Amino acid sequence: MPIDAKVVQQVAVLARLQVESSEEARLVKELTSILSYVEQLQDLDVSGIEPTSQVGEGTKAPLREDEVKPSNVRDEALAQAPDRDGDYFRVPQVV
Amino acid sequence: MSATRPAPESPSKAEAGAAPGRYETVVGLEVHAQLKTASKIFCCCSTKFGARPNTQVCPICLGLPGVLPILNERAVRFAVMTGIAVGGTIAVRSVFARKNYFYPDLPKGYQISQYDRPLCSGGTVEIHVGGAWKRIGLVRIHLEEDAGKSLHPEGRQGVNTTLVDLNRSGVPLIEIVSEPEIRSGAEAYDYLIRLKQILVYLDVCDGNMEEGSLRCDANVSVRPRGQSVFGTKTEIKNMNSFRNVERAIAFETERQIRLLESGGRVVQETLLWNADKGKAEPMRSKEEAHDYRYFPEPDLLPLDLEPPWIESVRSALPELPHQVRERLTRDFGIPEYDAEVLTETRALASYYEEVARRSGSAKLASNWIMTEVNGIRNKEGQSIEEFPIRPDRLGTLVRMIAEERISGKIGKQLFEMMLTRPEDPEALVKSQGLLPIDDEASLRAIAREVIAANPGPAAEVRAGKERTFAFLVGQAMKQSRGRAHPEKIQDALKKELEAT
Repeated sequence: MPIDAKVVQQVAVLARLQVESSEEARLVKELTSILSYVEQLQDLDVSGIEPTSQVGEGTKAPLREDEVKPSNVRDEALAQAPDRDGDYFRVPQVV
Repeated sequence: MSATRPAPESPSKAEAGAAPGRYETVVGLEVHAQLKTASKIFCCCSTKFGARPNTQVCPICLGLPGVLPILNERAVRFAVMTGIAVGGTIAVRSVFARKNYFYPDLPKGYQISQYDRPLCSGGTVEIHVGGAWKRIGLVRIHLEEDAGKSLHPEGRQGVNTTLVDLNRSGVPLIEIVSEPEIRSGAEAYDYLIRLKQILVYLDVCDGNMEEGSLRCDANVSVRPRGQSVFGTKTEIKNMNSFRNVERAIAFETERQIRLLESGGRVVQETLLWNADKGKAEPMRSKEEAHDYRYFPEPDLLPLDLEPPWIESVRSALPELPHQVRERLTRDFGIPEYDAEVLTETRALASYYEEVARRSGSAKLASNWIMTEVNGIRNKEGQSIEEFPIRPDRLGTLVRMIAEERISGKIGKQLFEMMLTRPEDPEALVKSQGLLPIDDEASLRAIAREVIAANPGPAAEVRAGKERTFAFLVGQAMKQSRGRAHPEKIQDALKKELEAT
């Protein structure tokens, strides 16, 4: 996929990043370089190989018992939040 | 929602939300059901509803760096039970995926869900609308975590903010996706009723829409009848009751048809149902095309299920609504309609079974529960578990009526008393003096009193006016508070009228 300024801005929007137009050219170049490096993988012949999504495959996913353990970290969590309102986290209005 | 299910709709009303004339409604539903686990899907925080905000949170469900999710075994079991119950295929390997989007109630910036390899594929839910059964196919059932809850209070001091409670973040959900095979709002309503019934019978979800344990989004489109290509669909969200789902589909169907008829075209968009206004309105957020960039969740290994384990879940499955329905019609010989009403919940079905067995009269037991018990429950909004007359006492009452030891009328008086008193009907009938009067002397005494109190009508009857006799019988029944044997009191009246 060719990377251009439009793709850079799209990715920025999805990542909630603000990218100035002066930065676009540099980012196009860097992203293109990263992608073409990874694209070398396309040269491998993987026909007949079951796709995997994990390096740890072959080990069974651990499951936990359905048990409640108290973990009330409310005060610490709220203390580290940029803003709070009583027991709630407060953020700029989203609707 | 009311305590009992309303009687099946008449065919005309059952078409509510069906496209009129030359259009056909096409609906697919996405239902999110909260699984009834004690702890969250990937951490040990409680899932209890209604706790003080942000008290049931930990580094995992807060999305803090450096933590690892560990899957809850019971959540997997519940999802597998649901999949088996609807006849779906359970995947021996399913894969968790990250669904990426930004929203303040999603602390990690992604939701752990399943994408191209869900836990369950296929299956059906049978619905009953307009007197016919129909199978609605399912696409899939997958496991995922819930997001937190955002509150949007009116601006304080002119500042509009959103408040976030993360107690719900990480609560286990299954998403059940139907094929676009639903053809009206009424079909959607019945689909939801039956799906909820299955979930509640399995005891994997409490089915409480008010608390958000069951949520539903609808994809709606219309197309000319006979056309196989789908029309452009819209997605409706924010429907907080099954009736609202039905209404929203009816509304949106009409809107789309009017639009097409006037030469316009449907735009693919998300609508929010406004129950107060009775209309679906475009979501007023920035319309960015969704781009969730799903990819396999690196923090969780694929979920491998051993076929013997799946089979053990299958064999431990409780009886399902349709199985109980079939059993009641077979074992008790009651009509299908009765079985349908009595299997609304597993608890109601068990209640019925005990009343039927104790009374020895299956149909009379059914009538009493459908009419008297459900009448009170609807009025009071009670579940059968909360109903004050337990099945042992009702069974005795129905037996007394079935054996004609008391009349139905006395039965109703006893029933009313039993609602507020703990006694057995056998004891009540004695202590309240409600035993039937069928001895000659007592009946003749009542007849004499009635004749003495009504000299005019008595004279009319003696003069040959037959119709007035019914009046005297009524008075005698009233005098005896319904206890007099209806035929014997007529004899007594005739004898007394002749004798005096």
